[in-house]
Amino acid sequence: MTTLHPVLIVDDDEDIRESMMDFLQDHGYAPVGATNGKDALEKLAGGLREPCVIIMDLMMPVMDGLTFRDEQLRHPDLARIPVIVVSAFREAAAVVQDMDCAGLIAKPLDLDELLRVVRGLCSAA
Amino acid sequence: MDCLGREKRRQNTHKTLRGIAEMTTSQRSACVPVRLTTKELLPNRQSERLLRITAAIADAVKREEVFEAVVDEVGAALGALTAALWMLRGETSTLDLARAHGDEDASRHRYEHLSLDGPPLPPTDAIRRSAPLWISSQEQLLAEYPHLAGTVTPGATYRIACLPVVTARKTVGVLVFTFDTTGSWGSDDDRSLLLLVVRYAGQALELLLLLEAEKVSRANTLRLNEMLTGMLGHDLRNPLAAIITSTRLAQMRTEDERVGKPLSRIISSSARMGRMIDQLLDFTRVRLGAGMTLRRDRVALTPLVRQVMDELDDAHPAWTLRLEEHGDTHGTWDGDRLAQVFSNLVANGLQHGSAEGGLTVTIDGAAADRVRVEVRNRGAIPDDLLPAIFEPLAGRSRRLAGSRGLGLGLFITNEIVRAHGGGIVVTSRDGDTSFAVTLPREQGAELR
Repeated sequence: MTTLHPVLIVDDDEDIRESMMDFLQDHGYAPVGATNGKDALEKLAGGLREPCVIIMDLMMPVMDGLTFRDEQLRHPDLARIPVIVVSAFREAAAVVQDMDCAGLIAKPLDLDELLRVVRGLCSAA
Repeated sequence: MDCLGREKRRQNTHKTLRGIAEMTTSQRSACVPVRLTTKELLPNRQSERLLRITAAIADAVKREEVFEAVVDEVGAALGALTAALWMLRGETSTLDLARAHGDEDASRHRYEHLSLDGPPLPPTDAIRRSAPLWISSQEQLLAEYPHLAGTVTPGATYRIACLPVVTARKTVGVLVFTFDTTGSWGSDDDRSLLLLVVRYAGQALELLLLLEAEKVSRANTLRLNEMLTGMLGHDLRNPLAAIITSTRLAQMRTEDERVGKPLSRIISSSARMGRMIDQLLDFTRVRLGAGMTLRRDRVALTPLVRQVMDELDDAHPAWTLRLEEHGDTHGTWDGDRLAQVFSNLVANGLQHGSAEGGLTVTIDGAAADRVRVEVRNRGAIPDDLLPAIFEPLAGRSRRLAGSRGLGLGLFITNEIVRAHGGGIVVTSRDGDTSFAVTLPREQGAELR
């Protein structure tokens, strides 16, 4: 039996989060959703199987993407998980530059690009 | 202010002169206790002085002009040795020297800011008391303000008038004049003239303050509107992203063409809405003074333009698109932003031009310091639209045939090119239209 790659999707917009989860599920992944950075950290600490990639929005309530990334990099066990930022923020590229992320995909999402990036990162995991 | 406005103010000024006596007797701080006629109040010389003063004030439009008229012109017309105006800073107890005439620089510097809570001084006392303060000599000055002994030239002869400037609502400042000692404050005419002048100055300053407050309020409202537009634009992107992602997902899950076609329409319309939101956000950034943010990198223009043309070519099968290039087409630019520029210009040509002549993009990299890209097609831009073609909403009012955007595309295109230090020249004659973009190859290079 093939084990599906887990993917953690962190976005406060339920519609976007769920549509990305649906899409990745259709393509053979095991997506898990989190509503903000804090929720994602709790899920990662709570026994979630290590995802091959974290797909994350930047601007979220409670804990934004930047803070999440800082926290993630402080934990040696989590730091190695690649992060892809998905953002509707036009100037996101300048922000992401300092976050040492695996990629940036602008919203509205190009699903083909998303799939290509996820495939690349998950096959390497 | 236009000429008509100034003329109207002049006419009002003369009406004011006719009503001088009534105004004087009714004013709050006037010390003329009885109603006087204009003739009684104003001998010819005073009338001439007032005419000169009121004309100068009526002509003043900008803040500096009003201050200059109220201080310099009024002081000169009254024959004052020095004249100065302090204005109250908002609702604080601080007075700022707005303008001074005839004083030495050192003296101006010393009295640039006065405090109503500080040591007593003639100007601050006049404001505190809301009444004119008349000082007939240096002796009187030092008798009432002995702490000023070290700051005055001993034995100098002058008289001082400190006159609060009271508008309809409140005291806004104080005018201070010094005169030689040939006259005295004993004459009611002298005092009445000064009080009248300061009242008129108060009216001019009140108008100025009202106009400035209105201007600030308008600018704040505009800024708020634009910030809201920006926030709305940003927030619309998330639901739009959800629509597009979900529709794409539905498309992938169905092979039924009857379902697939409407899903395609949802995606293309959503994408168009996304472009409008992008334009709105760019427009807001420029309007708020943030300008275009560029991420410069080494860019080869030919493949970039070719990709843009290929994308548009698919959607316009009736058109023949040609790309010509020569020379070195590399430079340090923001590739994504330039793709937006050429996508806008080519799409603009396809929307408004005629397919018969096709569309040609020529990239000229012959010059060492710049690259020129021309987008040329058959089609004419109306003469009256041409000078304002890069203005926001330029083509919007006439809803040019085929136009489906917000009317911000060319404005943003021009702003991106300007942010690169370049320029666009548009020509439209003999049925041919050309947009020629010139880009300096490197950041900071100036085009001549």
